[in-house]
Amino acid sequence: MEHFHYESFLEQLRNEFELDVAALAVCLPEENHAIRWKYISGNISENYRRIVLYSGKGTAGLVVKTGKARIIENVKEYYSAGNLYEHPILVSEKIESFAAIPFFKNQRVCAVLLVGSRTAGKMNQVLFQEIFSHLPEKVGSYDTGELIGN
Amino acid sequence: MIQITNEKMMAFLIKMYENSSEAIFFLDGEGEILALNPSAEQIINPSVLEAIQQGTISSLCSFCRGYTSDEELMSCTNCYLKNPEGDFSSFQVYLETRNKGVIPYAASYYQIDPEQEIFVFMLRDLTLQFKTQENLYKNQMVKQTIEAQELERKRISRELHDSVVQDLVSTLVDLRVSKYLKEDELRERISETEGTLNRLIEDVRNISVFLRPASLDDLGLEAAFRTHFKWIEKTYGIRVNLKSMISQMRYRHDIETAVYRICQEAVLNAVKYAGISEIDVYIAESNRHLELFVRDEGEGFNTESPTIKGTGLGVFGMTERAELIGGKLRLYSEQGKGTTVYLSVPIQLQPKERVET
Repeated sequence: MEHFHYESFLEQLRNEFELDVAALAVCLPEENHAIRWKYISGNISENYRRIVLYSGKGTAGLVVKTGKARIIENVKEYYSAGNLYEHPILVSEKIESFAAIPFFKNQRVCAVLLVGSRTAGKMNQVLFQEIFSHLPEKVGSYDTGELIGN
Repeated sequence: MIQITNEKMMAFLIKMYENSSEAIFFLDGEGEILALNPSAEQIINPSVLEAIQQGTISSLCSFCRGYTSDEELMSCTNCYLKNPEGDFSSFQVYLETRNKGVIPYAASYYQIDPEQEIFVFMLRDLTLQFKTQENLYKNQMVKQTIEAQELERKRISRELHDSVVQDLVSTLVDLRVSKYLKEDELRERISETEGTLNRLIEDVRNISVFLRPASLDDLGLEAAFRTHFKWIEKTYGIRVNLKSMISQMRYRHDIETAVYRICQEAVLNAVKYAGISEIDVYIAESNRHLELFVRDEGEGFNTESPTIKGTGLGVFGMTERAELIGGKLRLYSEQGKGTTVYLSVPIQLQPKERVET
């Protein structure tokens, strides 16, 4: 379990569902509970390395705060040009549709899986359900599937 | 309509000439004044008027201070008197007037008798119209200021409500629950609560710095920039390369604030709209001016007809701030070629502060 290879898990997921980006953001209790994009597959930019989010900030921060998955089928329609920059991962990776899914440890959100496409509408409720039911119960040290209120 | 005789028409015209609120001058082909009506007499300084009536002065130049051309507010290039080809059916002219100093008039100048080369020069006072315009502008400004203020309050209020209050409530719940926990569970809960409180401190600090960075007051522009750019890098994943040639120099309070805010706005604009991963900021002193460049190699935009993506107030606010401290702001951008914001502010050496340091 210690040596779980997150990168290949992300790459497999990305290939299987024909997505452009898959990434995992992780809460870091040792860094004041900062959230960083630690593993990524299919990225076109290195900006993700610099991003440090907190609960409630950015796409991963919102999922950590609410504990709920977020499915946006059309990023450009959902966010105005003046708001999108608050979600830097979507900007730097040019993501047009995505799902962000919470991963748990001891019933607390400790990581966020982002699966996205650079085509609007590619990610939708149907595909999200498909990916969600495909996820194993445990991904590395994280539990999946404890969607609160879903 | 009843046909009127020439005599009647003559009488009308004379009455109009005498009673019109518009100033009327008749001039010959050389631009010499042949006649002026009572309204015109009212405008001109008594001493000049006397000289005109005595015939010692006969030129408009004795009280004209230039007209508004495409290039200049008050210009004598291509003077309307000496440029018969030009269209001067409606233009703005500045005159030295009795009691009111140099003020603008709406003017028209054209030939009424080609054979004898007689021209008419008519003026309408624009002061009232200008005042109305100024009031309109002022009212719009006040409205925009209030709107911006409300927007900022909304942002702060939301930030307080969403992060600070929520985290406090969750800490409170944690504390209440912990009364019923076993020792090992309790220890874990305490460390989680500690984390929440640490995050809360960070949030409050961020809100406070965003409102007014203390480092700007205590340590000056360069230090404040470094802190802010580090925050930008973490929050948006975009690197800001700061090249500062001012080291720890301090400037007047209002100048430091304005330069900081203008830079902040320019950088945020680049973050929002340029689609880049790096921004260059350069700040230096040259010829008693403080100069700031904020440059990105991003999307750029057409400066002539920009597509407004935000409130459209950002650039307006930057220009206003620059003008308030006697500086000037320039924006260079082209579609696909990035954007440069350039600010130049005159600085005077401050003897008092020099002694202190």
